[in-house]
Amino acid sequence: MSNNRVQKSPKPKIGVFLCDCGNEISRIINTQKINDSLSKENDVIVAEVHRHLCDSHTLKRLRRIVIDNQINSLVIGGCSPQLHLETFSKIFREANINLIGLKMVNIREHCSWVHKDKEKATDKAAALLNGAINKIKASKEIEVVETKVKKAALVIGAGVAGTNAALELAKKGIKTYLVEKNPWIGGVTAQVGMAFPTDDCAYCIGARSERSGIRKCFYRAGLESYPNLEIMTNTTVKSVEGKVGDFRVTIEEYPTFINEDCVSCGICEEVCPIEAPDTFNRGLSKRKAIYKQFEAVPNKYIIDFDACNVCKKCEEVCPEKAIDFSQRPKKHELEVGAIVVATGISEFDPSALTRYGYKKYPQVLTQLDLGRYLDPAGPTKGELSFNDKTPESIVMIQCVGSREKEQNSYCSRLCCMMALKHATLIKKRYPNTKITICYIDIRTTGEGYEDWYDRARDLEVIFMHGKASEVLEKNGKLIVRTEDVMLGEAVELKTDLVVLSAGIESSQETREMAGLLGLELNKDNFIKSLDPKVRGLDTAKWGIFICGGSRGPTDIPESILQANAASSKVSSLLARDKIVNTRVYPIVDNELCDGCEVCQVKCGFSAIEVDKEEKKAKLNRSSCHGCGVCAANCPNNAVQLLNYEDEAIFAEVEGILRTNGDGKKIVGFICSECGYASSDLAGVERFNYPESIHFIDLPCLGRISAIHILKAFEQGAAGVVLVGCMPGRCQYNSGNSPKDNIALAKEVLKKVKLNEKVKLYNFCGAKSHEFAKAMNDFATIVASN
Amino acid sequence: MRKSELLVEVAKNIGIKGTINVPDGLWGYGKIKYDEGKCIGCSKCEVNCSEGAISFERIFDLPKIYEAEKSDGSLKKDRIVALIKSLTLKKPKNPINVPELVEGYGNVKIDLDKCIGCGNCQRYCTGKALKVEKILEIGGGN
Repeated sequence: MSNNRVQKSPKPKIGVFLCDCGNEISRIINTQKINDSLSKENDVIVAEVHRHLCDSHTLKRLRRIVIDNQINSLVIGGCSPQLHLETFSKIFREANINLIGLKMVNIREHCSWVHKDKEKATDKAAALLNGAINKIKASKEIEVVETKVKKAALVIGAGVAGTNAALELAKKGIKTYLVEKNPWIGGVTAQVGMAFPTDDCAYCIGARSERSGIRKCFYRAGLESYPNLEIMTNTTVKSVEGKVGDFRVTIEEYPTFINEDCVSCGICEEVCPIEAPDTFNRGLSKRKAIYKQFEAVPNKYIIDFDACNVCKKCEEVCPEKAIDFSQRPKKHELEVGAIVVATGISEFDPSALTRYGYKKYPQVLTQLDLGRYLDPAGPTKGELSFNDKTPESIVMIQCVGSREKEQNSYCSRLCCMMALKHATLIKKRYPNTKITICYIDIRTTGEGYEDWYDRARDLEVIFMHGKASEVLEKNGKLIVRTEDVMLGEAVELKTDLVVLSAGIESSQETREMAGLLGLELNKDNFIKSLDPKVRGLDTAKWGIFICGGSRGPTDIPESILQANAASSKVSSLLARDKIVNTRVYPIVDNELCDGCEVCQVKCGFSAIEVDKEEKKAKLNRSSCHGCGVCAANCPNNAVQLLNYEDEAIFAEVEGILRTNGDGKKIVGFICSECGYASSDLAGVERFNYPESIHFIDLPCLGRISAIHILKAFEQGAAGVVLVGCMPGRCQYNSGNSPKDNIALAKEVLKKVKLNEKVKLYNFCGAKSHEFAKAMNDFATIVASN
Repeated sequence: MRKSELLVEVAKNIGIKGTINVPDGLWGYGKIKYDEGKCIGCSKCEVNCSEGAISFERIFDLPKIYEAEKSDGSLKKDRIVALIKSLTLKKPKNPINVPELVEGYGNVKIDLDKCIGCGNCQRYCTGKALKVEKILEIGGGN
């Protein structure tokens, strides 16, 4: 569809409407004069000036004129498009009128509010309108795509985040599939035992009934019989196709070799001759090859086929004939409208850091190991006992694999609290055990978190400031080599048990799922959110959300908050019957495209990829954000961004520079995001800058190629200024593309000493004063020789 | 028209001549350069060149490799050269045809007229033997 040559749009019939904005515009700009000249332009059917275009009567009149005159393109000169483009779009959309082009020219914030010289400002407004009319004639029509929304959701991972998200979605009446790789639900949360900050067990969830309490253990919450919720354990996601509103997901269910007749009597377990490491207890204890897992869903036995020797003794003794060795993996197809990735975290494996002796000395544990030992379902039934002895002293080492350049440079956020929690629990039960925590910083940020630090101090836990360097064994005792920063000396601590507060990493499943879904990882190896500030639960793929550990180290309360928020995001998406994609998008000319992959390399959203067989670039419109970085970098010029085609940009430049008698005009390229906001707000604040600066708005500066800049000079521009978002805050991940293209243009212009007359600025709304100052400075540079 | 050709045209119109350095991150404005010494003969470049500008030849240019200074000597063909040198044999005079089924040798021929400088071969090149030279010729003298 988008790979075909777009048909030349029908002959433009343009309506031009100018707004006086009371007299906010006409005070400076002679709109009547401009109108008189524009009405003589080719293809302009109607040209009118109005006092207020945005009032409801005028809007209706505007629509009437468009219908009566069969106008198919509209140029509106008035305030900022950021303010009112939607107002105008809406009146036509509501009446099912498809305009080929609708362009607003900002003759208020970009003209009358920032300029004083009436004549020059009028000339500038006229030039901008000329540019817009030229552009609208050269650009092609966008095809709007509608997707019917599948009213179902998939949640991947049944840890605390996934389970809560799925439950909330089910409560909203959305059919929800909760897919979990393990035979149990609860993830890491089910393994940690007691939780901070509440000092109770970790695995509860918002209660099913408001009548009885506010929370329930996972096993009491009735999740399995919850309406609209389908929990699929032992299941993994194999492929995801389609787009927002309409994903097709293939999942594979591994056999448990137990059918639904199992009543959990346990006779099979007694006769099973095979012992295997208990993965739930992190391999710290053994279980049989046929076993029932704590928090298993369904609440039945399961056979660990990797360990099983298929002696079939279980089959012989099972009174319910529930054992079925004929089971094979089963594939299912799901159709969902949205996906939540909640594949969670894992603990950093400290055996990589041999100096700490993990896996070398049995009395060196991690915090999660210790959590299992302290849990009644753990290897020692909750007793802190090794070789029948309770440790007399414990040393905890913080920041193992965190805040280290060689491992993970980020703070794992949970380990300080885990150490405080475990130290407190142990001190309460074994008051004579001496506990020392070797730390760099203790970080307790959260409601009630600092109380744990105070509690640990009150219980005489020793805090030793300094990073432990090594764990050794001497005469059957462990020695921790560390420094005491307070005393400024190296110390050796003799101890029975060492607990490493190992950092938190993304789980393997999180990384695998990112690969499968085509999602980028951030520098910490978690799934990258669309925006770290305002779109923290969205991903670059529309309709796929993240919550909990898949997006960073997250504790239980925060995971639940994120899960609830993600479910709300999903439900607002699924509340629609159809999703309408009106974003601009690139088209690929198959006759010109050879499949060189430059577009694929440059796209920040993996939205355009080369089909290896066909050797043609293919666009996934639902992933495309419409920045045009592909078009700006296509060596064969086979990719063009609709509405911002090369021809359209050239035409707008030409239109603006047509009346460039004195050769002083400066062409500005401005992104429609933060860059534009700085210019708008400069207008609102009435900051003055020279009338010579004429802006052309683009979705993103990523659309700019060196040629656009050079073309402006070819057409007689005195300078080219580019205004974009703040460094690192480009909304389109267009990366360095604008910088590189600007650099190339400057390299070319250096030959004729014009390179100083091209400049890139990066601003956001709050930098409107800097914007205005920069425009003044730039105009001065351009005016000087 | 290719982007680079369009750029040259526009540049000429504003009176520019000579050679332009192209920023590293940009593709499509230079031509590919081949370093025989680093080529491991995998032929991935030929497969991935969208323009048909690269052809892989089953010819082992022994004299050239003999001359090429290469410190790590990790490639198969370097080892052969090292062997020849260690046996103090005479410098080979002729290229060798590489028999079918023998991998790791061979040569690349580039048709620079077809090359668009997209860098795809560079991205797929196993041995870092192909690199787009980020230079654009406008022409017309300096």
